[in-house]
Parts: sequence; C-alpha cells; structure tokens
Amino acid sequence: MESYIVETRALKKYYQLGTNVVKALDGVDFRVKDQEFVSIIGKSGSGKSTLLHMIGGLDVPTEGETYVDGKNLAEMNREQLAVFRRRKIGFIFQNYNLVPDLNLYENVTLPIELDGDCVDREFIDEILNLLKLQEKKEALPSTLSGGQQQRAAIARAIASKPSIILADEPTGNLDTASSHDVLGLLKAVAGRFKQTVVLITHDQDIAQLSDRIVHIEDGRIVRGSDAYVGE
Amino acid sequence: MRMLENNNRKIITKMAMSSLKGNKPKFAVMIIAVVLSSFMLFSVFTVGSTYFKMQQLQNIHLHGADFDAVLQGGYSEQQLNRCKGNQDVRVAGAGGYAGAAVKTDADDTLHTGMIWCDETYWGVMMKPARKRVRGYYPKKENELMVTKAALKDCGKENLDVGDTFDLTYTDQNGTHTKNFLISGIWEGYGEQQLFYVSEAFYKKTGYQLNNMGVLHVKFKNKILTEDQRTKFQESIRLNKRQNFQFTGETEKSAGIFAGMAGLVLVTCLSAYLLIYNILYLSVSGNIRYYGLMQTVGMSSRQIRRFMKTQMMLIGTAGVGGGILFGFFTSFLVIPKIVRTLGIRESAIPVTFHPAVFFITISIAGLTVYFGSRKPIKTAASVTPVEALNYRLTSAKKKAHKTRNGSLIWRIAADQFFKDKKKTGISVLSLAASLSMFLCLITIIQSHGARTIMSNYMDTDLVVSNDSLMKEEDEKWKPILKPSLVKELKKSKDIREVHPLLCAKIIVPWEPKFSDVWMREFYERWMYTPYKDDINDYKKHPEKYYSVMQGIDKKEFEYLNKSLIHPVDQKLFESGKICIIYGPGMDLSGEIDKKARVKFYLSENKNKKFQPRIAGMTDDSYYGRTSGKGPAVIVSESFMKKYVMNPYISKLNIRYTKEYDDETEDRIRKNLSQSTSAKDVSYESKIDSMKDIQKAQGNMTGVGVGIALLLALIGLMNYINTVFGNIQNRQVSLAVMESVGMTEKQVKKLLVREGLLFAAASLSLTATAGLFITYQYYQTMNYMNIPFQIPVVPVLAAVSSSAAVCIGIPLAAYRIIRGKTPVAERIRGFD
Repeated sequence: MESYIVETRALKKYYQLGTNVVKALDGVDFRVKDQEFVSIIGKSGSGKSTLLHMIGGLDVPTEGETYVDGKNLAEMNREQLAVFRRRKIGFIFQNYNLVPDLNLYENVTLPIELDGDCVDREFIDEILNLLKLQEKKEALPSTLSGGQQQRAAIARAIASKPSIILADEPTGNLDTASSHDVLGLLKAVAGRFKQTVVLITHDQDIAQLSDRIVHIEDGRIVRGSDAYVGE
Repeated sequence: MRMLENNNRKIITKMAMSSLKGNKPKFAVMIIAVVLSSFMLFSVFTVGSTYFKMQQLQNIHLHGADFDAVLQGGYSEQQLNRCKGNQDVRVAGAGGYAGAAVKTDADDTLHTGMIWCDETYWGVMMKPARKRVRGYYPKKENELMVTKAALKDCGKENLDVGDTFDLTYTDQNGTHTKNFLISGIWEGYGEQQLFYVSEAFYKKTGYQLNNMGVLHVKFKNKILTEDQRTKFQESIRLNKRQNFQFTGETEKSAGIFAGMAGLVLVTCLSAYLLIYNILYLSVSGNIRYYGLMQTVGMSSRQIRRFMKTQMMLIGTAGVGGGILFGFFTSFLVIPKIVRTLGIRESAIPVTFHPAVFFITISIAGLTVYFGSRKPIKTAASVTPVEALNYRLTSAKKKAHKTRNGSLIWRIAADQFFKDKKKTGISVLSLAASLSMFLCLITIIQSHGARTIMSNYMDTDLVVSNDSLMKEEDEKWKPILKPSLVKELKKSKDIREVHPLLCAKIIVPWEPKFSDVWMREFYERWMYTPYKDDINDYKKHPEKYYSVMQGIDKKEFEYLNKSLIHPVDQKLFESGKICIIYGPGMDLSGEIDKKARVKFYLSENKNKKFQPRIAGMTDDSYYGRTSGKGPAVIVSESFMKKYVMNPYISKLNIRYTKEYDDETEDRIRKNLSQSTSAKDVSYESKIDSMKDIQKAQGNMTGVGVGIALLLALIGLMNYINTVFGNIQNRQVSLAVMESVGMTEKQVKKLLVREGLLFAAASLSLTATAGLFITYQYYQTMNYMNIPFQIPVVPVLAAVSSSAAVCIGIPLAAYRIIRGKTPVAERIRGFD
C-alpha cells in the first residue's frame, strides 16, 4: 500500500450561521504523496482554504481525521500542534502575513528561532539569493512590494526545511508577471529541497503548473483525472 | 453668490447616534473611560477635601482648640487689641496660668493645672474640639469647669455638675485650700488634666496676664506666606520674654496648598491621559470607517461635526455617569465601609462643595475636547484611499539591523518602543499613579498615630515616683524599688529597663556657677526678683535644694547623642564631669568651660562634690517640679559609690514588642497593688497613640482611598493601552502562531512586555516620583517627622503593579483570542 504524506478521512467542518448550518467541508477524503505538487482549485467559498487550514492544524474539524507525515492531528494539543507546524509545515498566505515589526531576515528565520535552533546563515542566504531578496534583508515588510513580500513569505515557509508547504492563494494579490515569478520560484525551491506543495488557487492557468489538480465544490472533492480520491 | 445652505445637522446627529448604538461595545469602552476619569476627579475632589478637613480637625483635636498661632510668655492689653484689630485676624482668644492643684482628701500628688480663659477662647476657639458640655463656664471665684480626667486625678471621679469638693492648690500667693463647686463638665479633645477657673478666681491668684498670659490667634486666610507671617509678628512687637509661634500646619500652609494643587494636577493629567489614549485608539481603529464615509460623499467638515457630536454624546453620558458613580462612592460606600470597620459614622462627614460638580464637569469636558482634537483632525484629513490602507503601526522606520539575542525579548522590546508616544503615556500614567500612591502613603503613614509616637517618644513606658515631687522630703517614698527593676529585667517581654536614680542635694551659693544659675532661673521661671531671695539663699541653701540623678550607660549614650557637644564617657563614668538639666535655660554665654557645680548630699553634709559641667540638657525626662537648684546628672556607678540607697525617680521601659498592651497592663497591675499606687504616674506610648488615633478619626482610611483611586486610573490607562495593543496585534500574533509560536511562547512574550512596562514605570517612580514625593513631603511636613518610606505598602504596591503589568496582557490575550482558531484570527486582517 502506498503511503501518503497528507491524508484526510471523511473530514467535515460545519459552521453555525444564525439558524443555518454552513458546510465548509463535507466529508473530504484527500491524499498527497511525498514531494508532490498539488493544486486545489475551486470557487470562492468552496472550502479550499478551510481544507488547507485543517491540514496545517490551524483549525479543528467538526468530524473526521487528518494525518500529516503519519501523525493524527486530532491527537495533538495546541502546544504540540504549534511545534509540529514549525517543524513540518511552511505556510504561505495570500496576504503574505509577515510580522510587521521584524525585518525581512528576522521574518524568514522566525520559525527556526521559535524552535530554539541556531540559524543556518548560509542556508538562509542561499534561499534569499534564490528568491532575489538578498538586498532587502533588513527592510521592514511595509517597505516591500507585494511580490517581494510574497517571496519573503516563501523564504519563511522553507527556511525551517519543512516537509510540506501549504500555499493559500499566494498570487492572489499579485500582478500576472509577479505571479509567474513567485510560482516559478516556489516550484524551483520546493523541487530543490524535496518538499511537498499543496497550493490553493482559483486560477486554472496557475494550477496547470502543478503535478495534479484537485477540484473542490461546496465542501466536497470533485474527482479529477488523476486524483486519488476514492481509490 | 452664496449657495443656499443645506441643513444637514439633523442627519449628522442621527448618524452619530446610530453609530453609537451600532457600535455599543466600542463606545461603551470610551464612555467607561470618561466615566472613570470623571469619577476619579469627583472622588479626588470630594474625598480629598474631606481628607484635608479631617486633617484640620485632627489638628484642632490635638491642640484642643482652633488657632493658627500662639503668643506665650504673657501679652499686653495693647498686643491683644492689636491682634483683634488686625484685618487678617478672625479671632484672638486669651488665657492665663492660674495655678496648680496640689491635693484633695483623696490624693496628695495631683497633676492637674488651673487655667483661666476668656469668652473667645472658651466659646469660639475651643468649641470645635469639644464634644459635650454640661453646665456653664465658671463665673464665681469658687467655681470650676472640669473634665473627668482632672476629677480622676483628684480621686473625685464620681463627682458631677453641682457637687462641691475641697481642693488645695498653689498660686503666686502661696498654697490655699478652698471648697469648689463644679459648675460644668466638658468632654472632648486637648489637654484633659485642667480645671478652668473664673475671671474672679484668676484675679486673686497674683498672676499677671503680661507675664503668664497666653494669646491664641486664628487668621481669616488659611494660607499664610512667610512674608505675611513675619509682618504679623512684627506688628505685635514682641518683648524678650515673649515667644510667638505659628502652628506647624500654618507655617507649612503655602506648601500644603502647593501639595494639594499638585495632587489635583496629577489627577487631571491622569484623567486626560486615559481619555486621550482611548479616544486616540478608538478613532485610529475607526479610520477606515471615516474613509468609507468620505467615499460616499461626506465632507471633512461633516466628519468633524459627526465626530464632535459623538464626543459630545460620549462626554455627556460619561461625565454624568462619573459624577453619579463618584457621588455614590463618596457619600454612600465610603461611610458604609468605614462603619463596617467599626468607626462611628459621625467620624467621617464627607465634605461636599457645589464647586466640585463644576470643576469636575469642566475638567472632564475639556479633557474630552482636547483628547479628541487630534484624532478628529486625523480622521477628517485622511483621504479615502489612505483610510483603506490605514494600519495602526508606526511606519516611520523603513528597516533595522538584524539583531542577536533572545527572539522573545527582541519582539517584546520592539513592541515597547514601537509607539513611543503611547508607551510613554501609559508608563507616565502608571508612574504618576504609583508616585502619587508613594507620596500619599508616605505622608499618611508618617502622620499615622504610631509613627508620630515613635518619633516623639522613643520609649514605651515611663513610670514616675510622684512622691519625690513633694517639698518635704520626709514624704518621699521608695516606691520603685531595685527588686522591681530586677524583676522587670527578667521578663522576656521587656527589652530594656533604665532606672533614673535620685538623691537630694544642696547647692550652696557661690559666685561662679550657682549664682549665675539662680539669676537665670529666676529670670526665666520666677515672678519675684532674684535679688529679694539671694540673701536667704546664701543663708539657707537647703531651701533651694535640688537633686543628683544617676543614669546607666545606655541612658547616657542616648542623652549624649542629644547634646550639641557630646561629653567624654570615661570622665562621666568616673564622676569628674556632669550634665546639668536646665529647663529652657541658656547658660552658654554665662559660664565658662571649666565651670563646676559644687554641692553636697542632703543626708550627709560631709559628702561634697564638684564635678565639671560638661553639658546641659532640657529634656524634660530629667526634670523635676520642686526645688530651684540645678539637677545634676551623673553616672549610676558614680552615684552608687556615695549614696547608699538612692531613690528611683523614674523607670524608662522598652518592650520587646512595641505597643505591647499585655506587658503594659501587667506592669500597671503590679504597681497598682502597692499601697502608694496613687503616687505613681505613667507616661505611655500606647496611651498617646490612642489619643492621636482618636484625634485623627478616619484620616488614614480616606487618604488610602484617594491613593487607591489614583492607582485605579493608572491601571485603567494601562489596561486600555494593552487591550488596544493586543487587539491591533492579534493578526500578527496569530501569524506567529501559524509559523510555530506556541501558546507558552506567546505568553512569555506578553509577560516580558508587561515586565518592560513595570520596569519603566517603577524606575520612573523610584527616581522622579521619589524626588517629587520627598519635595512634597518636606513642604507638607509641618510636624517635622523624618522622611521614611513605608516599606510594606510600597513593596505591596511594587509587587502588585508588577503583577498587574504582567497579568493584564495575559488576560487581554486570553479574552481577545478566546477559543477562535488561528485560521480565523489570521483572517482578522481582511
């Protein structure tokens, strides 16, 4: 039997909105192989971000289980989840979400320092060179362009050498040129450091860059040509 | 051409109202801030004026009358008229020494004095210090106005108004016995062992008001500058014998006023900081809303009006609520708390003045106005596009160097220094409250009954053998025996016992010292000229006897420290030198350094001594009432060599535990069993403390109340800043959590931020606050009590502020974060 680095089983996430129940995820079974680059595509409100948050341990499901690198996230408490995140997962958000008071370099090394490890300066410099950010090391996020901020977010996501990178619409706030630039770099970096990437997008063209595309609608996975759902 | 004005005021007011209704939680915080500030102002003014009224009352209680200055050593008719005619003087009351009670058939060692006073002093100045009077002030020669304490001293405690008793007393003309009628009994504060006599009685005593009269003056103005005081003193033209003194609080009145003004200023500043801080945060957080308003066509002027209307509504609700809250606290809660503590309600009359309403409304209103000016300006001047991208971050810095060291400390420091203005306001507010607390608590504690006593009297109990005060030495009794001293010394509850030994001595006339002494003594204390008695003194020096007093080593050390020029201990122990007790006398220019006092023992004329006079003291502990010669203080060991069985005139006792009621009761009980118990008197620190406590009423409680109110406002400011700060950073904190910051690490970060606030506030308090406290203390220190920081309350304040500084960010984080998952908190940005 093939092993998966990410696996969700009958994952459900319901929200109570007044008298209505919103089914953000409604029984999602989803798997990702090691070093795979998967895109999740869907309309706004289809549940793709919720699924990503569940995989990253940023949210708790109403029902179902999530396994990441063989660990059941439901069995971890908040503290363990945080440690797990900084060691195994790198996040890239649409809004970049850099810490405004830390400079670019400090933002990138944040997960490493939080883990109490020594920063491998050569490795960080290598990433920054790769992402063309060497010149902006000391700049505060508010002084960077959108593209630069997103590249900084990529650098932060891979700085602690996580196995998985979860990217939530990383090009949502960028122009076309910057979008291609950022995605190209993400793919290159992930390949170089042998990382698995789960990318959320609503853009068909961007999704084409990935190894596999999964469609999501109304909280359910819609079978794709090369999806593993229901195998 | 002027365009027709469209009346849009109504819609703006309507919008302002609906905006308030729609954003209830946000505006509730603003209203609470104004409520708290107004409450604090109102309470500080009300409770503060009550405090100062009570302090005035305490002084009246301690003095036994309401006056600002006193003229002692007699006064002339002219001086009295000058005082009464002075436009700055409200009233001037006079009195005079009229003799001393000597004995009754129940007790022959009395301690009660006799005083006459005029109608103004009795009827106006003493009135606020009296609680109850039955009967009337003496009119006839044989009438007395008494107190229970004076009657008890005479062994006549069961007598009442209308009763008569025989009393032997002395006056200028000698000793007399008379049957007196008790015309009245009064209860209250001030000296209790006094008989007030009629003018008719006074006229027969032989005392003259220009020698033994006392004049009390009360001024119209509560604040007297040094210049005004000097001018007044000059206007009454004092003679050499007269001594004119302002009361401590009058001398410091200008300082006290400055202190009060400072208190009001800090209160206003704290209130301003709180309101400003909250309005600033709230408006800044709302900037996008104002931007939106502009995009739909609201002009800058309309936004300004819209916000002003909102501020007016908030201000009205807040100030009204604050005054009601303050009214409730000042008038209902404080008396209730005090009553629960067992203090009579009448002891805490909360002072109310209509001006308090006016001042509170004005200051709070002005604070809301000034506090909202800048935020309104910001909101009105921001463009819609700017407003949409507005973030509460300081974007002034573009970059900073990558730093080493603990990540958590670095982020904490970043937060602390990020918005220096806001941090500065919070730190300043906390420090202002802490400093005010420090200042008030230092003043309150140092003026607390125990502290006053500890500084005034450094022994717990003085037991005196009063039989030694009798003129005839055959009536002297050895009541305090060496066996008693031994027994007391054995007790675990008693730390020290120092007996004051005493033997009668005769100091014969000789020109170099005893003549100089007598001349000075007569000038200072007698009303007959020395020249009338000098020949009698030369012939019968035994009539002008005195005492030799022996003190132990510890007592010597204490006495020696109090001397201007300390003396040599070895010479003192050997008896080669002595110290003279001279009540209010200055012989420094009259005798040389080699002067000796020549005397012999009354019991044995052959035992002659002539020690050199090495020092002089006027500490009344070494004083005695009978005999005109100088009291010679020598060492105990020297005295014991020559006097077989010296009397013990006093016992100076210090307990192991200060204010030990039980030990004191035991000692008193033991001595009361003696047959001569009536000839023993006590001077007790516990009694004096109780008197002061009684006089103070609930001054301390009210003072602590003010300090706590100020602490509350500082706390509110800090809470507000922290909540605002964490609210603004919740996305940032969630981002850090998303990249792996654990809850423990978030808490560590917040604790460190709190510690930085605590450290900054405490450092500011420990430097600037302490300096201001010291300055205030000195200006308000009319009792000349040494400056001492009360350790326990200050340590409690330091630790509680540190706890608060740490606890508030943690609590704020917990409340703001709730149980919301990281994913949702990150979305807070959008």
